[in-house]
This record gives sequence, C-alpha cells and structure tokens, in this order.
Amino acid sequence: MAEQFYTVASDSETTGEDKSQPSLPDVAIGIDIGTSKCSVAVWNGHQVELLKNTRNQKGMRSYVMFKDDTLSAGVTGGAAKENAHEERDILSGSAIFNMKRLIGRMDTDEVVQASKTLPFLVQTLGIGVRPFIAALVNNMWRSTTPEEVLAIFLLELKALVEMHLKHPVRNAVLTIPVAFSRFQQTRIERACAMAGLHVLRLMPEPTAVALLYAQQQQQLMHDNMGSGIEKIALIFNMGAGYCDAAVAATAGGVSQIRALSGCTAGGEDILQNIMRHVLPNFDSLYAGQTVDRIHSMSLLRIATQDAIHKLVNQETVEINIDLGNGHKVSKVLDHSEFEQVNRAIFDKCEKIINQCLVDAKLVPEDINDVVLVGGCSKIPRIRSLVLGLCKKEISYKNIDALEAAVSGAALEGAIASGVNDSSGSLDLLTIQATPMNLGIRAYGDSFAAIIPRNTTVPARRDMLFTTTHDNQTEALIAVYEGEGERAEDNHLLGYFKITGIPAAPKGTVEISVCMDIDAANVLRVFAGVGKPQGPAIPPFIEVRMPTLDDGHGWCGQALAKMYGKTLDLAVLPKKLQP
Amino acid sequence: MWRRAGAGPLRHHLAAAAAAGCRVNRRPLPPMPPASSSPASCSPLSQHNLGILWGSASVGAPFRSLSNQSGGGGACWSCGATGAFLSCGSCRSVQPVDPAVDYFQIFGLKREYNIKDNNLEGKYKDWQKKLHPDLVHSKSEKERGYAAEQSALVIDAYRTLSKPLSRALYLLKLEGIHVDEDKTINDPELLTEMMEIREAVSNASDSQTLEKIQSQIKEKLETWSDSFQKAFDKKDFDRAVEATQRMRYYERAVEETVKKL
Repeated sequence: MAEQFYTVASDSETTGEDKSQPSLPDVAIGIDIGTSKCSVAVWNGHQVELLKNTRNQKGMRSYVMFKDDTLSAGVTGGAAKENAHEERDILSGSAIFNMKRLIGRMDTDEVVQASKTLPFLVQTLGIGVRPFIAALVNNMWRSTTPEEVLAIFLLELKALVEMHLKHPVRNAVLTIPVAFSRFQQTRIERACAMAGLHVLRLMPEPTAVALLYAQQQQQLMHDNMGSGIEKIALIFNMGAGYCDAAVAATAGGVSQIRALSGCTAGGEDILQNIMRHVLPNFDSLYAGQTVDRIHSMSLLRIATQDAIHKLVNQETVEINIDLGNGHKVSKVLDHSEFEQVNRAIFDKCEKIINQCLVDAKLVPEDINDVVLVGGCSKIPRIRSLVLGLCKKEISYKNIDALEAAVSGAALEGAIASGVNDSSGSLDLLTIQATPMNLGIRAYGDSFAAIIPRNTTVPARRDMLFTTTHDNQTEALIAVYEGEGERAEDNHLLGYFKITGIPAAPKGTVEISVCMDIDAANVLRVFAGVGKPQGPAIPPFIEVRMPTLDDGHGWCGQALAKMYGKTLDLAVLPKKLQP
Repeated sequence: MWRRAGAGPLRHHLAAAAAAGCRVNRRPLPPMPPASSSPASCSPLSQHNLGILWGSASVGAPFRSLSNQSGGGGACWSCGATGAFLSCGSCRSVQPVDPAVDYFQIFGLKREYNIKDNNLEGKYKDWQKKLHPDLVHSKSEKERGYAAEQSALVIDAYRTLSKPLSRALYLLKLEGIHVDEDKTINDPELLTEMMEIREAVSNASDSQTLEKIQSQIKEKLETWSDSFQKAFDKKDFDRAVEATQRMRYYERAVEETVKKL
C-alpha cells in the first residue's frame, strides 16, 4: 500500500514459509486520527488495549504546536502543562489542528474555505491548488502542510507506543472517513511514511466499528447467548470533521460491508454554525487575522464549544462572554434553536443513512442493531434522528462511542499481522466494499462509473467505450472517483492517453477500460483498443491510480479545456453487466 | 523463535525435519517467479491474459470450460492431501483456481435455477473465512495470489447466483448460450407496456402509488422467472432467453421505482 521502500519484508514473507505466530513487534498497531482527537490501540496478546499518554488521556487532542525551534504535538500535550490551558494554546494561532479536514484538499474545496475561520492561517487562491497554511511563530506566519503536521503528530504517537511496548513499531492500521478520496488516502500514507510507519490498511471508520461488533457477536455465540444467525447492523459515526454510515451483515465472525456512505459534516460545522448564530457579524468582525482578533475568536470558540457540550445534558445553556473591544455575547440557547441552526447538517446525516439503506437494499425493519459512535453521537438530535430513521427505540449498548474505531483498527492490525488467538477472539474477517463510484470522463463532462460504489473488494469491472469523432486516433482516459454525475464534481485521480487508435468512423472502434481493485485496495486501470485487434494495434496501458500529486483541480479544468472535445469518449451501450 | 533465526535453506530443512502435520510435509518448491497478488496485474500485453480480461469483463461471470467436471477437488499443492477444493481441508492452504469448477459447485448446489435460498450468504462467508486475502497476509506470495483469485471468484459466484437474472444468464452460459443483451425490443406489446410503466412511474406523486406499481412489476418479474425455469428445464433455450430479456426489462423498471421512492 505504501511506497515500496518503506515495506519491511520479514524473511518468512520472502521465502514463502508458513509463518508461525508473529512476535509482538510485528503486530500492527491501530490508530484513529480524529479531526479533534486521536487514539492508539494495540493487541496485547489477549485483547485490545488503548494506550494513554503521560497525562493519562486515551483521546489526545490532534494538533501540532509551533514554537521558536520546537514542535510539539498533542500526544504529549504540546506546550501546555495543564489541560485547562491546552485549548487556549491550541487556539492561539501557533498550533495547526483539523489536519484531517485539510489534508489532500484543494483550495476550491468548501471544507478548506470553511477552515479560513480557524485561528491559524489558511490562504486560498481558489484555482484548485493546495491551500497555503501557516502557524504563528513570534508574530510571523510560518508555512507548513497538513501532511507535515500529521507526520509530526504521528511521530510523537509512535514514540508513545514504543515507550509503552518497549520495542520499535513499524506497521499500522489507520481509520479514515468514508468520504476520503483515494488521493487523500495517499496523503495519509505519505504522512505515515514520513513518520516511519508502514500503512498495512486504511479502514473506513464504520467498518472498523463493524469488526468490533462482529467480534462481540461471535463472543455472544460462544457463550451460547447469541443465536449465530446473521445480524444486520447500521453503524453511524460522527466526529468533529466527518460523518459516516455503514450497513454490515455479520455472521460467524465475518462482517460483510453491504453499503457505505459518508460526507464532510461534523462537530466543527456545528460549532461554526453556533458561533455565527450567537455573533451575527462573526465574518466581518474576524476578517483578516490580527493577534487581537485571533484571541477574541478563541474566546468565542471555547465558550461555544463548552455550551454545545453542556446542551447534551441540559435543556438550555447560557453563553456569556466578553470578546474584547466592546464586543459581548450574551445568549441563551435551547435545543430547538440549536436544531434550527444546524438543520442543514442533520439533513446531510439523514441523507447518508437513507442512501446507505437503499444501497444495501434494506428497510429499517431489517436492521437488528443501530451502533452510534463518534463524539457527535452524544447529541440528542443526532441520536433521535438515526434511531428514528432505523425505527428503533434504543441503540446498541456494548460499544464505547469514542473507543470503537481505534479498537477495531487494532483488531484488524492483529488479524492482518497473522496473529492467532486460541480463544478464537481474532477469528474474524471484514469484507470491504468500495465507498465511491470509480469511473472515467465521457460525453464531454459526464462521468461513466465503471466500478459502482458498494462493490465488494477485490473487484474488477470493465466497460466498453467508443470514439466520438470520425478518424479519432487518440482518446483521453481521465479517471475520477465520487458520487457526482458530472466528472468535475468528482475527484480526479489521474489521466493518460490512448494513442494509435486505427482511423475509423466514429462509434465503430471498441475502447476497453478495465478497473481492478486488488486485495490490498490498490486501484489499477487498464485501457486500450479492444476492437479491431491485430498487430497494428498499440499495446494496452496499465496505470496504477492515483497518479496525481497535486493541483488536481487546476489540472482537471486544463484537461477539459485542452482535450475535452477532441479526445472525448462515449459509452458503447453493449454487453451491460447482468 | 528458532525458526526465524536460521537462514533460508536451513530453515526449510529444519522445518521439514521438525514435525509431522501438513505444514512441514510440504515438498520444497522451486522458486516462483514473482507472481502478483492480483490477476489483473499481469501484463495485458499477453494474449492469454487479454482473453481472461475480456472473459470476466464483458459478462461479469467468467466463462469456464466444462470439459472436466471434476469438482471433487484435487491434491493439495502444499501438503498433498486429496480432496482439496478451493482450500485444503487438512492444511488449510488456499488452492489455485481450477477453471473447471463452476459457481454452483462452489456453493454445493445442483446446477439448477431454483436454488431455494440455501443460505447462500452463510456459505459465501464460510468460504471467505478460508480464502480471503486479508487472512493469509503472512503466507507466501504464491498463496496470497491464490487467495486473491479464489476470493474474487467466490465473490463473483455469490453475486451471480444470489440474483435471479444473473443466475439465469449464468445457467445459459454454462449451456454455451450467449444472450445478446443489446437486442432491441421488437415486440410492440412489450414496448407499449414499458412505456406505460415508465409513464406511470413518472406520474406517480406519492409513495403509495409507487409501491403499488412496484409490486405489480415484481409480480410480472416473478411470472417470467417461473417461465424461465420451465423453459430451461425443458431445454427450450429460445424461450429461456426471451424470459431473461423480459426479466431484465422488469428489473430495470423496479430500479426506476426504487430511485423515485
């Protein structure tokens, strides 16, 4: 999965000998990098164990603090000695956080645009290149990148694990949001490689939870309390940055992911909505980052965050804060107002759950358990919304909302490392599905999906295309991933040209495009002229995706402008999949 | 961890001498060329591979030759035990794909249309637990390659057999009959009916009406499914092909109602 030179081949892998129980240093650790908090867990030989930092935290704030010559991440607590000061330091402009929202995104992305109200610098040109981000050090903006920040954080996390385990660690299973594109996944892998970690798997968060659920169901069966028949779980996960849903069918320790869906809606959006609600001139007041404004905004952010947390258990909450410069906020917030302000977010949640059910071809009555995880799953409206859509009174009880994803990742780490457990608690398997459509651009700006979303992995599909002009000798294969009907609404993963197409009337040549996702989740695209055949036809082209490194928004537009018409393709409506 | 300490050949020797049990009974194998874990990663330049590519591609279910109806399983490449089918019963090694095995054999079913839901998903999961590439991560490159292929085959088999239409088409294919799915409708009656359904779906304003339309289409789907079975049993393949085409139209119509619901 990661670049070749980071792969560590143990001698048993190269000789093809059956491997006996791997020694514990070879067991991959599980990491949940959250937008707000991170956690790490390991299989300790008997069970999954979450590790704590020196301040006794299992969930460590995700940030990196930039000081004169030192960098420190939230694992050890950065510069702050006391927890109470930590939040204020994070919001001082000197720390970069929300890396997970920013990584692998272009400056035209709405998530990046929304990040401009964070205390550190997020500068955009709006042309589809990576945003410029910087932390405040000695009253100067010092530039960095989300990958770099994440790598620094992971390095500190790795050191923490090695201190606990007293041996070096190299393999890891990380959880990622369902909405992460393959390009974003490569950014995560890059950050891991920079931190000296080899990514064994990137698991969509709800599928990690599904694995934990499968283990518990298996355990119940062993204890003769479960029936052993198939159980269907809907897993809903909402953290600070993302919201995901999955439907998993579990039997005998095997969890088949029937459907996945996700979007970028989370606690950060709720927080920003409430801040704008209690301070209507928020945007004009905080336009342009000065030290004063950053300080004032951090006060508002802390107070609002606090209020949202309190509102989980209270009917109403009061926000009273002096923002300096004569600006004061004094406001009482109740649930109905809170729900009104965040209606768009709840609508998004509803949409992904409904989509998940439709894609899984299930009705609410088919669902046995509703598993609610992630920090935002504590919000009453989220709970009632998810349970309501699934027609359930209560959610599944035995899973900790904040520890589920990392525990699942650590389980997967142990399984993928080949650990056997005599008690059978690792006798598990998750069969993954693709979270998004994969396809190419055709008919100008349309998107032709070749591997539809929720296809079981490993997968291979192909589709036939044809030329759109007479005597067209070249065609552009632009590979996209996403849910949009227009190619431009999706993530561009890469592109290449098929050349030497024999001159023929339009619509007569068969161009075959095959997509293959192997067991390691690597995507390859094969394309070439399928008909006519013969020695005069150029060889097929195989490309491992994504090939793009950066600035892909820019790139997609340039491609469309330069070649959109001349090198276009049309779908050949023949031999559809049964 | 003495096994890990030795150099390659010594380890083979030690392992072979060490114990009974199939794991160590393995004959030393000649070094394999670096086979890729994915069947697709072979160079598409080779004609042979292209053949496979097309086969699995255009129809979703690779055509498998039926000349050798063994199905009982052969000798395990790893421990030599007989009766190894997909995975070895005694040493659990994943076996290479046998092109003579058809999807029905994988699920232990007779080759017939009406499979009466024999807990297909359960059997599918049982196989995946033995074959899935995630579970042979620490095995040899060669065996991981087998696992990737076998697992993909079982996924295809499950996908194909679990849905009536794809199961019907697969049965026809096993009989050597190719269904031209692109054939245009020339039955004016069907054409009118499809247009009427489409109109009714687009005019339906509430979910109740849509559900009613949907159940009507599903009934027709059921009828044609039955007539496929009868025709297929009588080896009246022309009628069987016609039935699959009808089934396809009604399935598309159901999809349209689902989209609107």
